[in-house]
Amino acid sequence: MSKRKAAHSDKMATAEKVPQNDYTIGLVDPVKDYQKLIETRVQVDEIVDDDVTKENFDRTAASARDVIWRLIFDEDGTSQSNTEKASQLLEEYRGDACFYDPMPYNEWIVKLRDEVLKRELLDFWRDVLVKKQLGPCWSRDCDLFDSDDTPPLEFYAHAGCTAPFAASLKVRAAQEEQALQNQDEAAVSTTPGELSADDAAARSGEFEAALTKENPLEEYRSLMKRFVLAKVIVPDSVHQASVNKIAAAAREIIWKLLFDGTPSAEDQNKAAELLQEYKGDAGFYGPDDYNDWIFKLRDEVLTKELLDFWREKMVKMELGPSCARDSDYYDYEDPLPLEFYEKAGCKAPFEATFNDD
Amino acid sequence: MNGPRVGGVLALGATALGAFYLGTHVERERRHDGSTSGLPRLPGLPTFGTVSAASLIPAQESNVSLAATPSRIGQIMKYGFPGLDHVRSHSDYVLSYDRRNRVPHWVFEHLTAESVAKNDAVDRSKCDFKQDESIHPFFRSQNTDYRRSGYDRGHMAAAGNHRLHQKHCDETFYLSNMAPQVGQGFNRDAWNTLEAHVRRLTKTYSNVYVCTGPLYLPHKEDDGKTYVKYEVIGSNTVAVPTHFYKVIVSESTDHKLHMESYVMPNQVISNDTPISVFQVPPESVERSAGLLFFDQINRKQLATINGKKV
Repeated sequence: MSKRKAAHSDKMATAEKVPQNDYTIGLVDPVKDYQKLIETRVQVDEIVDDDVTKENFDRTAASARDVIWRLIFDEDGTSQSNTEKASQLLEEYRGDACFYDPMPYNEWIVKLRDEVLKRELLDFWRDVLVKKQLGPCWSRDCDLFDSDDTPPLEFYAHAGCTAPFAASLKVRAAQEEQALQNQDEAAVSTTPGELSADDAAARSGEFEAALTKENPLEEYRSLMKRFVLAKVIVPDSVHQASVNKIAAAAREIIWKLLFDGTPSAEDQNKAAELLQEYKGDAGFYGPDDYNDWIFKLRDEVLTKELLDFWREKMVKMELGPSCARDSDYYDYEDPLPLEFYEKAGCKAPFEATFNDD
Repeated sequence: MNGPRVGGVLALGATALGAFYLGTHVERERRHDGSTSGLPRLPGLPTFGTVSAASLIPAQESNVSLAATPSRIGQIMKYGFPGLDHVRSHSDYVLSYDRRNRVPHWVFEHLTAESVAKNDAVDRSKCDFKQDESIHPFFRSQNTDYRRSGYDRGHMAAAGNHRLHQKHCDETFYLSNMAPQVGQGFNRDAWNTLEAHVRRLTKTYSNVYVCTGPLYLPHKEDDGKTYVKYEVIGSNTVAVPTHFYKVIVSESTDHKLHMESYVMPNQVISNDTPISVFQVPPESVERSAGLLFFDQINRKQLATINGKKV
C-alpha cells in the first residue's frame, strides 16, 4: 500500500496495459482508473479465491483513498475540478466499500472529515460529505449492517450539520415502540376448517349418483364437482369408485333418453351433450369402460334406426372410442378407432394421419 | 426521505394482503381431517445415528465446539430433518443446500440465552462474506452474483444467533448460507426484527429451535393461471426467493412446546408492521416449502401454535 508519485500515476490514466501488481489511480481521470481496477481485479466472473479478491480490493481501495486525499488537500491545480474528481471517486469507492469491505472506509472517512474541518473546507463538508451521506457505511446502504447496529449519527454532527437521516430515525424509533405494544394485542386467528358434508362424502365415496332426464348434463357436472373434484385428499380406490359410480349413472340416463320409446330431438340433444362430457372425463380418468360400452350404444342406436343421432351426433361429434386424439392414455403408436364409425355409410370424422411417419 | 416512506406504507398493504392470501388459501386447501397423522412414517430414512429427541438440553450446558460434532448436530436436529438434500453441518448450525437455486433449502439452529448473548470475543465486523468451497463450482454462489444486484446477501442462519465463538459467527458468512434479500425495509429491518424476536424467545424459553428458508410462492396472473415467477441474479443465476419462512419451536422450563410460524414477503415492509401479521399455520409453510418441520413432534403435543392454545 505504498504511496505513488503523481507524475507516475498521470501516465497510467491513459495507459492500455496495467501491470499486474500496479494499483495506480491517476489524477487525470481517477474514477475511470478506479473502475477499471475493480472490473478487472475484483468483479471477476471466474471463480477466484476470496482472499485474492479481498486483497485486490484492499489495494484498489488504498489507492483510491490516497488519490482522494491528494485531490482534496494538495494545493496543485484548480480546486474546483479536483474537488469534483475527489467527490466522484469517493462516492464510487464508498459504494464498493459498502459491499466488499466497509471497515477501512469507516475508519478512514473519520480522518478525512477531521482534516476537512481542520482546513475549513466547509462547502465540501456540507455539500459532499453530509448532503451525499458519504460518512460511514451502515444498514442504510450496506448488507454488513442491520438495524441493531448504531447508526453513524455522530459523524455528521459537526460544523452545525446533522445527519440527513436523523429525523427518519426518530420517527422509526417511535414506530418501533408502538409496534412492540401492538404485538402483544395482535393475535392471528387460525380457525380450523370444518369438513363439509360434501367433502366427507367425497372421502367416504358414499353418495347417491342418480341423473334425471330433465337436466342430466348439469346434474352430472354437479356430482363430479362435489364428489370427484373435491379439494380433499381421497384414497385412489375411493376416488376411482366415485368416478365409476357417476359414469354408470351417465350411461344409464343416456340409455334411457335414447331408448325409452322414440326419443325427441330435445332428448337426443341432451344425450349427446352428456355423452360428450362423459367421454371427455373418461379420457382422463380411464377410458376402458367407455370404449366397451360405446360399441353397445352404437349397435343399439343402429338397431333402433336412430340414424340422425348416429350421423349428426356420434359420428360428427366424434363420440366413438377414446383415442390419442382426445386422451393422454394413448399415443401415436396406438391404432385409431376408424372401424367404429364405418357403419350405415359413414366414415370416421378424422383420418389415419397419425401413423404416417 | 419521503419516497421510501410512502413505498413502505404501500408495501404494508401488499404484504399484509399477501400473507392473508397465503394463509387463507393454504388453509382452505389443507387436509381438513388431520389425515397427516394417518400417514405412515417412511421407514429407513437415513438419519444421523446420534440424533434423538431423547431429552431436553440444559440451557446452561456449554455447547462450544468448533467442529461439526455429531453431538452438536444431534442437538440441533433433535426434532427431525425437514429434508435430506445436500445437508452440511457447521459448528453451530445445519444447512441443506439447494444446488439448483444456489441458496439453502433450509437451515436449522438451536439457540439458548447463552448462545445469543453479546460476547466481546465475537466481532461480526471481522467476518467476510465468502464462497463456500465445499459446494461444487457449478452450484456455488459468489460475491459477484450479489454485487449491484439490488439485493443483500441475506443470512438464513443469522450471525447474531451464534455468539459462543468467533468461528461460529464466521461460518454464517458462507455464501451457501445466503439468499438474495431486499436490503432496506427487509433484511436490515423487518426480517432483522423477526430474527431479534427469535433471539428474544431465549429469555422466556430454555431452548429455541428454528428452521429458516426460502419460498417460491405462486401467484395468479391476468389469464387466471397460476405461475411461480422469480428473478435470478448474477452469472450463477442465484434465485431470488419470493418469501422467507421461519418455523420456531420453544421448550419451556416445564417441558411444554410452543410453535410459531412466519412467512414474510421478500420486499420492503413498513417498519410499523408488527411481525404477528406474518404468522401463518405451520402446515401452510410445509406445503409451500415441500418440507416437514419438527415432524418428530405431534402437533397435538404442542401447547400453543402462534400464541393460540392447541
